[in-house]
Parts: sequence; structure tokens; C-alpha cells
Amino acid sequence: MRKLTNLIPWITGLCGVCIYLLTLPLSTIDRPRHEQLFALPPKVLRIVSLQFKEVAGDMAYLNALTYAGGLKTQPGTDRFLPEQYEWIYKNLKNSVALDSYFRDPYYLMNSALIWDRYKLTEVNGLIAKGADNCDWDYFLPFYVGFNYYYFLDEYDKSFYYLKEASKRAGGNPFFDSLASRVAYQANKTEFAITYLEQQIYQAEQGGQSSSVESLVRRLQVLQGIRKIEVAVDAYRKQYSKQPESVSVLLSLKLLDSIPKEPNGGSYYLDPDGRVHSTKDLKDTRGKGPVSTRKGASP
Amino acid sequence: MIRIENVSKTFRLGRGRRVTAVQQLSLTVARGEVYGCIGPNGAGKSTTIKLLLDMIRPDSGELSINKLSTRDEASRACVGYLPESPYIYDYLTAREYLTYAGKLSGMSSVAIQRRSDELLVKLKLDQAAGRRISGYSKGMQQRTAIAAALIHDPDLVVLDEPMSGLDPLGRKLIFDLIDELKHQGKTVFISSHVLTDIERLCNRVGIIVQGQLCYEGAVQQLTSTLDEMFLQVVQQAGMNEVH
Amino acid sequence: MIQAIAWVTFLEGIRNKAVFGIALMAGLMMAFTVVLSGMIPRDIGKVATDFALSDATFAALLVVLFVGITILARDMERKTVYLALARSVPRSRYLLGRFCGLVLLQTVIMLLLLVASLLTLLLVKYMYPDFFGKVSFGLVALAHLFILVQMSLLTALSILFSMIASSSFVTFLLTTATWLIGSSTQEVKQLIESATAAQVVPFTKLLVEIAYYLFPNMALFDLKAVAAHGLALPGATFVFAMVYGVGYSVAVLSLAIILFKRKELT
Repeated sequence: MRKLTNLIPWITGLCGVCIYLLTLPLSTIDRPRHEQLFALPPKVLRIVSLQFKEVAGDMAYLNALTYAGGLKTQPGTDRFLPEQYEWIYKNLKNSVALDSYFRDPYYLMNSALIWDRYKLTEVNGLIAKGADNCDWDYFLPFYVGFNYYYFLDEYDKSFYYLKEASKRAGGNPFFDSLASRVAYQANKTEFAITYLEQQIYQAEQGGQSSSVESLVRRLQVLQGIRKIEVAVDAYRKQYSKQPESVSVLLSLKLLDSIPKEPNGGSYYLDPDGRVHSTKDLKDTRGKGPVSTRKGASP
Repeated sequence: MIRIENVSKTFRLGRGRRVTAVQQLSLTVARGEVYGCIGPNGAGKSTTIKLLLDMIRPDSGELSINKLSTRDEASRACVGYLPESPYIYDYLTAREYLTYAGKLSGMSSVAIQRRSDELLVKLKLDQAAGRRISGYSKGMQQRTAIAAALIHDPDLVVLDEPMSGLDPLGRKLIFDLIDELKHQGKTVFISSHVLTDIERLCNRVGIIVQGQLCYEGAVQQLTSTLDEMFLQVVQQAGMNEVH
Repeated sequence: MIQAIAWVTFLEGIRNKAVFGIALMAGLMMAFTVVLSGMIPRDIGKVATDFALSDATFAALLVVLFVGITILARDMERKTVYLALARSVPRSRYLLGRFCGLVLLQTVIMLLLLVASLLTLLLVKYMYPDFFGKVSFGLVALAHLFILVQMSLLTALSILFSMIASSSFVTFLLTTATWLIGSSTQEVKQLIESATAAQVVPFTKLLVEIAYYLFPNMALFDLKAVAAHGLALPGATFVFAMVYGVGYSVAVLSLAIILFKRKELT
């Protein structure tokens, strides 16, 4: 009888372990979004992290990285919610406030926030500060320069940063050619196409197949836009006015076919005669992200 | 050897309460004497010893050892002290402990080696000398502490309850040791509750009750047993608390 | 005599199981650093250095707070001080011996942590050679030296507090509070100075100034950013930090000795 009672702790222990193992998969369910979305202001964080500022900065960056990565893998969302962008932005801002020489947050800002046109002026300003601090890195000024031209229409700053990038890279003809395009205010779509072709090449070299995929799609959108832009210019030359729609161009044989939009949308002309995709962003002036169409799957 | 003159010490406990541990105490111990100090618990025996060793400072009066004031640390160079409960670094071995004690008294490594071997054998600790003190029995720890008190061959040996924690074999060991010290001409100051040992070992005895020296005299001149003497003195002193 | 006391103090530390636990913890954290580095796209070397140096700081801090203070407290509680003071050992020399022993303990542990950090960083460098960045191994070693000086200063402070505190827990709280405040005064001072005058009450400003000069400026000894990015460390900064650390420790120990001389050991 005594031998049996000795076994009781073992049995209860085993039950406990089994219960734990069974509930383990459940514990990795994502917490509700609103629980995660809190970040301390940078100055407070600097004080609170005492002598561990750098690791706090690293953790803030990793938070943003894993969060953004997690969101991107969820199906059915083209865009994030504003508070999700804000959380990523706050964390990356904290990360660079804690260590301004840390390059990865600047890169993540560029890839996660700029193309989705979130707080373009502030974010690009931060990346610009990063470019100034990390004077050995030539990609940061390159991105800053591109963003100033393509998204923000600040030609002087763009030129300065692209030249800076070239200088740091020991004279890079690609950066120089972009700088010269800025100088004579070349067509933005062509500018972006050249830029993306370079990006895709870099990504393929680096073996980053997931980035390559999204970059290629972006490139295809712009190539489609470019093709229609050429047709629009030809129409304007011929008829001295804006074309009414894309189908007009098709019927006048200025466009041999309507390019297929890789994200499933369609191309249209806005009142100023500029070409957009319905799946693209509002306009090129960074007015903010389109609200997410929740539940709408492509 | 020891001179205590009109020493008083009052402790201030929390909330304004005061305890007078020692009151106008005067005591002398001559060189080569074995002096037994007895008294009820809380009488002030340990306090007197701490005052002697400059662990605490008197409110008034003076103490000196070998004509040097106790405020001068040189007065303790020739003192060997055994505290009431063994104060031991239990992560050291007995040998390391004795080496430490010897070094503190400024002995050379050679002298330390010789003396520790001698004492470890005498106190029957030589088998266990390489083990950590944390594994010793209480009696062994007490004997280690005694060895440390004697390693530098002090002229004055102050023993506070030397027999506590010892079994009869251990007690015989210590008894013989003290006897040997007596014959070597060392001065010994013992504070103990074991009145039979005091009777057999000491030349003179002093009874302290409530911080005052109530009786002092040669052991040989005692009219009754020390036990009866003790109880008589305590009654006369009018002690109303048993600590 | 000081040597004997220092050696016994050192032995007490090394033979303490807590040291083993702290060493194990530091080892695990270093291993975790290597794993974490794999998640960083570019500045892998910087992140690895940040974590390695933070682990070292944390481990050294634990040694001061949990081993050093325990040693001092046990000495008073178990009255093992009597062993030395009942002989002709001056109280000042005893305290210095204790301090030297604790610093010796810190030094040995710091050397072990340095070896662990360097091994970790070398491993990360081997795994990701192109992304190691401008981490300077020399500065990493120097950073460890600075941590050692900082922790020696904190040890001196813990000795001072043990003279006035009634229990070892109070000593622990005081030492921890001093480290926390000392680590943030520089940052808070800069924050107050950069804020516009209207936002800050003059009284707060004064309080921050007092705290900055009274409490030891621990941020002075933080070389993590410098080592991780291979920045230049001016010789003047190095000398100033060393002199500050040594000077402050000497002042604190002197005060501790004065208090100890007057202390009653009941």
C-alpha cells in the first residue's frame, strides 16, 4: 500500500507534463493585435534601459522585424492597419534613438514603411540621419536619394544624397546616372524602373528569393504604367489634350494591348493624365495608405 | 597583565530603552595567573571580554593589557581569543584556517607549518585537517577555534565557554591543554558555567552579577563549594530576572 | 597581512556556489547570443558585441550584489571579523584586505567573461565573416576593463553601505539603488539640459545636478557602443574614467574605514 502512495507524486507530475505538452501549440496563437501595440517614447526608453541601451535597441528592431514579417505572411492583407504601421515605426525609431549607428532599422524602415507610403517625410528624414551617421554605408544615401526624388519631390536633396552614395561607393556609375536623371528631372517611372532593376539584381545575387518576387511584381506594375505613359504622351502630342481613358489609347492603336497588372488590378488615368493602378497607392505624393480591405481576398 | 579600571558600558536598545551591561567594574589579572570569571547569563561576562578586545568601547573607565591601552591594537598581539560560539569560515579547511590565523598574527610560513602540525595532533584534528570545516562536528569546530587561538603562542589566552559543545573526551583534551598552559606560565582568563572545572583549574575567581563584580578571591580560600558560593552571591546581589 | 585577508576573501567567493551559477548563466547567455545573431540581416557583429558585453556587465553586477554583499554580511553576522580584529590587525587594514579580496574575485571572473566574450565573437565572426562589421576586439577587451573598474567602485560602495545598514538586505537595496541612479544620471542630465527652460521646474534641475555629482556616473564606464562600432576612444576619456573610478573608490573606502573604526561590534 505504501509503495502505491509513493507513486502518486510521479503520476501527478506526469499528468502535469502531458497537460503542458498538449497546451503548448495553443500558447503560440497570436495575441490580439491591440495588446502588442505599445512602445515607450524614445527618451524614456533611453533612461530606463540604463547601461543596456544597445541591446534594448536591438530588441526593438527585432520586435519590428518579426512583427512586420509575421503580418506579411498572413493571407488576405494588402496593407497593414495604421496602428500596425505606427508600432513598427515607433519601434524602429526607438531602435535608432538607442543606437544611431545601427543600420538594420534604417533598411527595414525603407522596405516596410516607405513603399507603403507611411509618414514619408519623417521616415525618410530618419533614414537620412542614418545615412549621415553611418558614413561608410553607401546604400543608405542611395535609398534616401531615391525616396526624395520619387516620393517627396525634393530634387536638391535627392541629388545630394545620390552623389554622396556614389562618392562613398568610390564612384559608382549607376548612382551617378540616377543623380544625373534627377538633375534634368527625368520621368519618375523610368527612374524607378532603373532603380528596381538594380534592386532585383542585388537581391538575386544575395539569394533573397522572397524579396525578388515582390520586387519583380513592383517592376512589372511600373513597366505597365510606363508603357501606357508613352502612349499618353503620343496622344497628347497628336491631339493637344489629355486622353479620356486607357481604352481610348487602345482603340487609336497607340497602345497595342493593355498590360496585365500583376496584382490583379487595372490601369486607369487620373484627371491630370497620370497613369495609376487600382491596386496601387493613392498618388505619388505620399498622402497616406489606402485603408485595408479586410476580408477581400484576391 | 590585565587591568580593568572603573569601566562602565550602557547599551541603547531601540525605543529609548537602555541596558547597563557593565557598571564600575574593576578587575586585575596578574601575569601567569589563571582567572575564572563566572556569573549568571547576561551578567556582562562576554561584554567585559569584548571591551577588553576593543570590539566595543567603554562609556567610562580604562582597560589595558600588558600595560598597553586596549585602544592600541598592539595590546592584542599577544592575545589568543576563543569566542563563545565558534566563529569559523566553514569553506576553509582546518589547515587553511590555521594558516590564515597565523598570517594575521604576523607569523612566518615555516613557523605556521610547525605550530599547526603540533596543535592539530594535540587536538586530534590531524586526520580531518584537509577537509572543509563545514563538514566538522561541533566539537571539532570548537577544537579548531582553540587551535587558532593558540597558534601564535600568545601570553594571554582568553577563553569564553571553552567546554561548550564538547563531549567528555573533548573536555578532557581542553582541560589538559589549559593545565599545560598554566604550567608554561601563560596567563589564562576563562569565562565558564562549568564550576567544577573553574575550581580545579583557576587560581582566582571573580563572580559578576548584573554588571558588577560581587566577589573576588583565591580558589583555595573558598569556604564552601563554588556552587554554593555562587548561589549565595547571586542572592545577595538581589537578582530578580533569570536570563 | 592584507594579502592573507584578501586571499581568504577571494577563496570565500570562488568556493561560493552562487559564482558557479552566475558563470553558468553567463555561458548560456553567450551561447544564446550566437543564435540571436543569425536573425540580424546586416550588423551581426554589432548585435553580438552588444549582447556579449551586456551579459558581462550583468554577470559582474550579480557577483557584486549577491556574492560580495553576502561575504560582507556573513562576516558581521557570524562575527568572523573577530578572528582578525581580536589580534593586532588594525581595522583599516582589515577593510582594505576585504576590498582587495573582492576586487581579486571580480578580476578573475572578469577574465573568464572576457574569454567567453571573445570566443563568442570569434565564433560569430567565423559564421558570418562578411557581416561582422567594424567590431574592435581591442575595445571589447578594454570594455571589460571598464566594467571591472565600475564594479570595483560598486564594491567599495557596498562596503560603505554595509557599515551603516542594519541588515544585508538594506545593503543590497542601497547598492542596487546607487547603481540604478548612477547609470541614468548622465542621460537624465542631458535630457533636462536639452529641454526648453519653460518645461523644467528649476527645483528639478537642481535636484538632477546634485544627483549627477553625488552619485557615481556609471555611464562613464559603458564602452559598448564604442566597441561594437569600432569608434575611436580618445586617450583623455580613458584616463579620466580610470582616475574617476580610482578616485571615487578611494574616497568611499576612506569614509568606510572611518565608520568602521568607530563601529561597535556587539
